[in-house]
Amino acid sequence: MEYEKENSIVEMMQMQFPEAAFKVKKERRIEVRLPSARLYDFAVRMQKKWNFLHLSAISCVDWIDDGEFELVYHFWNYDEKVLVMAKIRIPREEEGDSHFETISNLWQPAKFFERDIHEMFGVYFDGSEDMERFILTDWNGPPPMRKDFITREFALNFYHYRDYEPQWLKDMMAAGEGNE
Amino acid sequence: MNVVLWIIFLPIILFVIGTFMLGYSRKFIARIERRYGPPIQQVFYDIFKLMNKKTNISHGWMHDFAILMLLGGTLLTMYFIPVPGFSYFAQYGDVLVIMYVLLIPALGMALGVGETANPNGSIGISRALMMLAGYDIPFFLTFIGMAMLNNTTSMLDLIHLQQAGGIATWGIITNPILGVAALIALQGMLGEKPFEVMVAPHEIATGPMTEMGGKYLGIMMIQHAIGVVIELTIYINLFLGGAVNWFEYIVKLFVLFTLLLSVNAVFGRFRTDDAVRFMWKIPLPLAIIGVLFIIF
Amino acid sequence: MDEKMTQRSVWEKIAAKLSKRSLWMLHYCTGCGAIELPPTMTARFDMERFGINPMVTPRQADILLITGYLSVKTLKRVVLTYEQMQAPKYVVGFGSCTINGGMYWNSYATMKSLDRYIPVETYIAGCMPRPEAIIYSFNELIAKIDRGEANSWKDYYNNYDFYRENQEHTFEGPIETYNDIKADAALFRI
Repeated sequence: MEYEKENSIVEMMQMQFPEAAFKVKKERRIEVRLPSARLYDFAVRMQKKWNFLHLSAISCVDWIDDGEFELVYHFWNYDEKVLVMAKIRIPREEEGDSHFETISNLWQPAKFFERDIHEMFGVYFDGSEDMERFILTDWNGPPPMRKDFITREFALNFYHYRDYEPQWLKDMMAAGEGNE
Repeated sequence: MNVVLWIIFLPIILFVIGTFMLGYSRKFIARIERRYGPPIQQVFYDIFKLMNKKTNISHGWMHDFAILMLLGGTLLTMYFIPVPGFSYFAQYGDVLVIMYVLLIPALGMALGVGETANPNGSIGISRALMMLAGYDIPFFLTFIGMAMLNNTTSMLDLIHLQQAGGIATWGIITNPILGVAALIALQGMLGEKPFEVMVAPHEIATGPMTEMGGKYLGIMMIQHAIGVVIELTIYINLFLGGAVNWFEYIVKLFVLFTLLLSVNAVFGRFRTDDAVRFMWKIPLPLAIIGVLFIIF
Repeated sequence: MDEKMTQRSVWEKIAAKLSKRSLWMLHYCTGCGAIELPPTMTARFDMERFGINPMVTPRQADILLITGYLSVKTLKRVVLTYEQMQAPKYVVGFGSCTINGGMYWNSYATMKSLDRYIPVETYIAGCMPRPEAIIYSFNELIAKIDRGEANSWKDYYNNYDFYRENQEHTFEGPIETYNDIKADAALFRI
C-alpha cells in the first residue's frame, strides 16, 4: 500500500488532535491545519513524544483578501524522514503588529525565524527574549513583505536618484515605451 | 669631526640601503609569482605618502612616545654595530650590549599597541612577544658560542680575526652548527615567512600595526628598513667575515637576503605555537650542541 | 564635487608626484563586485606594479572601493569606516549600483546614489567591470591626483551638514560617529 509510513504517523497524531485536518500530500510530506490556540501543544508533542526534533523553518503567507496571516511550521523527523507542515491562521492587523506566541523556549533557532517574520511581515511573537531586526537594521519603513507595500513606489519616493536624461531615453519615452 | 659626520649620516645611509632592499624583496617575490612587481623605489613612495597624511589619530601621549622608543631603540643598536669605516662606539660596546638593546624596539611597540585598546593589536603584539621568546634564545646562544670560541666578546675583534684568516676562518666554516642555527633564528627575527605570524594581514589586520596610520606607520616602516639591515649585519659580522669596504658589504647583504627571501616566497605561515615549538626543537638544540662542541 | 586646480605650491606638486605612486586600497568587499578584485591583484592583471596594494585596516588605507550595491545596513558601516580613514582619501564607486541603483534600482533597502552620503572621486561603470577597466580607472585616478584635482575629501569636512542630513534621512535616527568631523576640520586646517 502506498504511503504506509505516512498514514501510520497521521493516525497516531489524529488520536491526540481530533479537530485537526491531516493530509498526506505526497511521499514524506504531511500537511496539518490547526486552530491557532492548539499550536503550542502540538509543538510540544512533536518534540518530546513523536521525535520530530528538527525545526526546519517557520514561514508566513499574507492572505490579504481573507485578512489573515498564515504561519507554517516545518518539522522534520530524522528517523522516519518525514516532514510535517503545521499551518495556522492568525488575524491580520492593518496598522501595527499581529500577535502570536513564541516557541523559542522549545527550539532556540526559532528565534531567528521569528525575528525575520517580525521585521518582514509585522507579526510580534509574545514571550520571546529578543525581537530586534537583524536584516533591515537602520531602516525605518513598513514591513516590506506585506502585499500592500508597493516596492517601486516606496523606492522612488524615499531615495534620491540621479538626473539622467540622455537622448535615447527621451526618444523611447516619446514613442511610448520604457518606464519612469 | 669625522665621527660626528658618521653619526649624522649613518642612519640615512642605512635607511637608503634598507629601503632598496625592501623594494628588491617585493620585486623578487613578484617575479617568483610570475608577475611584474612594483619598481624598486616603491618603499620610498610608500613612506613619503604616509608622512604626507594630513590628519592624525593619536591615542594618547604614551602611544606617541612608544613610536619614538621604537625608532630610538633601533638607532641605538645601529650605532653599536661596526660597519666598514665606522666603529667608534663599537669598541666600547660588545656582543652583550647588542643583545640587550635589540629588545628595546619590540618593547616599545608593545607599549604603544597596548595603549590603543584594539583587540587585533593586542593579539598581534602578544604573538610578536611570544615569537621573540622563540627566536631570541637560539640567536643569543650563538653569540655566546662565537664569543667563547674566539675568547672575546667584542664584535670588532671577531671581525678582525675572521678577516685576518681569510675565508677558512669565517664563522660559518669553523663552526657550521652554530651558523645554521643562527640562520634559522635570523629568519624569525626578520619576520619573514614561515615565521610571519606577527603581521598576519588577513587574520588580525596587520597585528600590532592595526591602529597606526599616517606618520606612525611611516616611522615604523623606517624602523623596519633600518632593522632589516642591522639584523643582517649582525649575522654577517659574526659568521660571514664582516666587510672590508662598502661594496663587499652590500654584496653580502643582498646575497644573504636573497637566500632568506627564497624561503619566504614559497612557504606558508606557521601558527604561533608551532613556530615557537619549531624554534625550540631545531635551532635551539643545534645551538646547544654547537656550544658544547666548543667547550669540549 | 570637482574643485578646479588653484595655485599649488612647489611642495604640493612634488608631494603629488611622489604620493600618487603608492595608493593603498582598503580590502573591504561590500557587494558582489568584489569578485573582480582577486584577478586584478594576482599575477595576470598585476595591480601592484602601480603601487596599489590591498591593505586591511581603514587607518592605513587611501582608497575605499565600494564594490556594488550598498544596503542600508552596510551603508552605516561604510560611513563609519570612511570617517576612520586618514585624509587624503579617495572613494571609488565601482559598478553601476553606486551610480544609479543598477540592478537593484527598485529595491526598498539599497541606496541609489552614493554621492549623497560620502564624496566620491571616480566611478567605474559596468556590471561588473573587468580588471582591465579597474586598472584603467586607477590610472585615471593617479592622473587626477597628479593634476591636483582629487580634492573631494575636503568636501566632506567643509560640507559635512549636507552629508549628515542625507545619512540621517536614510537611517532610523541620528547615528553615533566616533570622530568629530568639525573639530578635526578645525584642528588640521582643512
